[in-house]
Amino acid sequence: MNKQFFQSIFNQKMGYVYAYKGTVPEGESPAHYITAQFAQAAGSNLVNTVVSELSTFGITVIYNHAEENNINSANFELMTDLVPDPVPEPPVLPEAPEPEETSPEEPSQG
Amino acid sequence: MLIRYRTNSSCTLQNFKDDVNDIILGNIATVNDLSSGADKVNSEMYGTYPTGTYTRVNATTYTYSKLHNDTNASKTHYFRLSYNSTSMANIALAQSYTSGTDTLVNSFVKTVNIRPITYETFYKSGIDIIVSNKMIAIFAPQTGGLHGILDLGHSSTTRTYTDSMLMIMQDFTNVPGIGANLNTGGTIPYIYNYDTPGYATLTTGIQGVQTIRKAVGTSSVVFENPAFTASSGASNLMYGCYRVPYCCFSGIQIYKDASNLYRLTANDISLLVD
Repeated sequence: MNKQFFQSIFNQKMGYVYAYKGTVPEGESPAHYITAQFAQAAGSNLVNTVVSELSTFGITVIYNHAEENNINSANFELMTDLVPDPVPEPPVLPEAPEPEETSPEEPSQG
Repeated sequence: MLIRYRTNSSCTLQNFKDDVNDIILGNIATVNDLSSGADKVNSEMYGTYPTGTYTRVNATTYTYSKLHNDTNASKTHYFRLSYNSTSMANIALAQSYTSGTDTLVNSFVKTVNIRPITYETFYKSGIDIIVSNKMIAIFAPQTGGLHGILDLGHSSTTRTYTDSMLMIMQDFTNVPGIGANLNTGGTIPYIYNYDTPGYATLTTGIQGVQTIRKAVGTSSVVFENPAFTASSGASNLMYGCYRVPYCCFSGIQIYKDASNLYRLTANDISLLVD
C-alpha cells in the first residue's frame, strides 16, 4: 500500500489518507461513525471524506479532501498524502569536449 | 424544470443564494418569484418542478437530499452547495448524511466558483439550472463551467454491493468527442470497486453510441442515444442524459424532442428538462 495505490482507489491527486485505529460500536454504521469521529478530530462538520474498508489488508481507511493535514488524533494515523511526487529532473550529462580545431590542409595540386 | 436564470447588475450573493435555493425547492412558480437580483424580463422557465424529490436537510448550510427517480432503487443521496464571499465555491455530492452533526458521509467535492453575472443581450449571459427528478444541473459557461449531478441506473455491481451510490457528478465540459479530456469528468463518490477491492471513489466519463442527424423532407430529425458512465467496471445508465450528433447544436441551446419535452444541450449532450 503506497501512495499510488491510494491515488488509484480514491482517484484523487490531493488530500490525505488515514488509517482508522479506533473501534466501531456494535450496530453503528462504520462509515457514519468514523466520519463523525473524523469531523470531531478535524473540528469541522464541513469535511469531505470517504471511508473505505480494505478487507484484503484488514484495515479501514478514511480519505480527507483537504490541502493541509490538520488531524491530530490517536484514532487517525496518517498513511500518506495523495499529492503526486515531483517528477525528478533528468540527470545532467557532462558536456562532451569540443573537438580540437585543426588547420585545414591545403589541397595539393598535382 | 429548467430555469434560464439571468441576473441584473444589482444582484447580490444573497439574492443568488436565495434564488438557487428557491429553484431547488420548487418555490419558483414563475420567473416573477425570483429575487430582485434576477433579470425577470430575460429569465425563462420551462417544464414542471419534480415535487417530492428535493428537501433541504439543514437550515444553515445549503445541504439537500435527492430521492432517486426510480422508486425501485430506494436511494436517497445528498448534495451541498458551499458559498464563499463572492460565489458558489463548490458542490459536494455524498452517499449519505448525518443530520445531528450536519456531516456528509462518503462525499466528493468539486470547486466550481459559479457567480451571477449581469445579463448581456449579445452573449445571453446567465446560469441555466435544471431541477428534475433525474438530476440537478447548473450550467454557468461564463464563470464556473457546466456541472451536473445525475441519477444512475443499476449495474450488476451496484445490485450486488448495495451501499454503492446511484448518482454521479459530471463535468459536461468533458464529453465524447469534445474537449481536451475525452470521456472523463465524472465521479461517483462511493461505489464498490472490484480492483480495490472495496468501496471507494470511481472516476468515469460519458459513453454512448455515436448518433446522427437525418434529413426528413424539409426538416430533420436528431437521434438521441442514451448515455452511460464509462469506466473499467460495469457501466451505469445516466438518467436523462443523451448523446446527440457532433456539433448539431452550437453553444448551449434548448429544443423540444419527439415527446414534446424540453431538452438543454451542450457539447453534444442533451439533458432532459423534465
